[in-house]
Amino acid sequence: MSIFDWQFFRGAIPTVLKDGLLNTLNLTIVTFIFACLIGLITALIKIYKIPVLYQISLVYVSFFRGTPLLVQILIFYYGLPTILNHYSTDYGWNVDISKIPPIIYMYVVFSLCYGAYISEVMRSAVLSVDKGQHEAAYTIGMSGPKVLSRIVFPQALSNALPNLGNYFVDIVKGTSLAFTATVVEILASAKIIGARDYRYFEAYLAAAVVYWVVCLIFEVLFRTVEKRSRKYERRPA
Amino acid sequence: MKDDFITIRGLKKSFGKNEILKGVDLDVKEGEKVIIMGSSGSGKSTLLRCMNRLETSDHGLMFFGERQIDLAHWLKKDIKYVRSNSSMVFQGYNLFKHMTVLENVMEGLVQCKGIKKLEAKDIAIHYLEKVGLSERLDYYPSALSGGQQQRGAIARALALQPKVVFFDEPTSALDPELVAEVLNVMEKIAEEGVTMIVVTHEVGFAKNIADRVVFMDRGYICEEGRPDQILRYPRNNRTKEFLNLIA
Repeated sequence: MSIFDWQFFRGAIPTVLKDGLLNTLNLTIVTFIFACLIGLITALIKIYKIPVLYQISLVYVSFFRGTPLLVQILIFYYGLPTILNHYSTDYGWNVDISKIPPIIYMYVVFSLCYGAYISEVMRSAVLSVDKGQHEAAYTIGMSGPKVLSRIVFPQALSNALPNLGNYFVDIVKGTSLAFTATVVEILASAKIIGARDYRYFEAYLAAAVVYWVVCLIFEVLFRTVEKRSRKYERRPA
Repeated sequence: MKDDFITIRGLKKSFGKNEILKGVDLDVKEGEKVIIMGSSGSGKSTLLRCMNRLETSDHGLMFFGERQIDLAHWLKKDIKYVRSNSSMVFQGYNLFKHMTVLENVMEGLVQCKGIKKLEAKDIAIHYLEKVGLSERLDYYPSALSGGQQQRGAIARALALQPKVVFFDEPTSALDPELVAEVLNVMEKIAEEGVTMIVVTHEVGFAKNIADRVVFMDRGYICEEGRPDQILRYPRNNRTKEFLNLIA
């Protein structure tokens, strides 16, 4: 058995792409969307210091930033079904918990975890919008929600984009932990084909290459979006 | 000139322990141009900002048009009423950074007055022509000089056809050579009858357009009167000192 089997490696890449890429992208994009929503709502709760919700948000962010994602995954994947099962029989919901696909749990735990991180990005982005912009919007007769949606959010978003891009790449890599919950994403599919021929090294390397390329593509994508969103900061040619 | 459009009685405002306004009374008639002068820290800007509720007040009463407003306890509908019948030009321009000049002027028309986009565009262009920006419609604020930005902000304030426009030191952030272009635009719109309350140190401008000049000192109005009198023959010592300083 040679140290490195090129042929296996080359064959592993398309297999990993075929079996794992879809789940990785799926989990990443769903997580990113919900994490941004959760992050924004949490940020607004913190900025406006809404009673009760404010205290809840402090505990929420502290917990999800203060514990490892892997531990959170295990808690949600093994703990949540037990609880759901209990209440499902108690209240006669008549739902078969075992039929819920594991990726659903992953949507929840990943969104909550990254939502906690992204809430800080959103908070600083919203606060970075100049006070004068709010005031000008009020003096033309805008209501509070309109000031946020028309004036503050568009500017905050373009301030937040570089950081959001970072977290997006972070989520791509973070999804590799979902294999512990039996979700077949890039890493899990590499593990499976590696186990078939005891070619773990080649298989994992193939997974690494795929992750790298995916991250590169999204980095370029985010940079392009960022440039476009900042067009108002440049002078026209 | 008609009856008083804005009447303020006993306006008091503190920031922490620092009392900025110590009981201000002010009357402004419809169509009147009132210039507010005074040394920095005398409360001029705060007075303006208390009138459209950018700042809360501790005490005071304001009649604004038909409405009577307790300045210490604004009602939501009063805030809405005052803001939809007034607008403001800021020292720092505050054009919306992510919108072109044209979009800036259209924004209030479309979002707050509910005017259709096409019509709003016509109105916006009309006002931008008035301030001499018709060739910069599609520029973002970052691509404009301070004077151009401030003229855009004036167009934005006027396009809403407010009853009163507050100007908060509109030329103080500008390079000296750009001040004139903004003052010219303001003199031009002054002729059109909108009520203007202007905080400024521009004596020449005050002479040209003011119906009345109000001097503030340490939280009070210390002297007021017609510009030809008050700027030439001030009676109050603080007014004299101040005019000597900026002359």
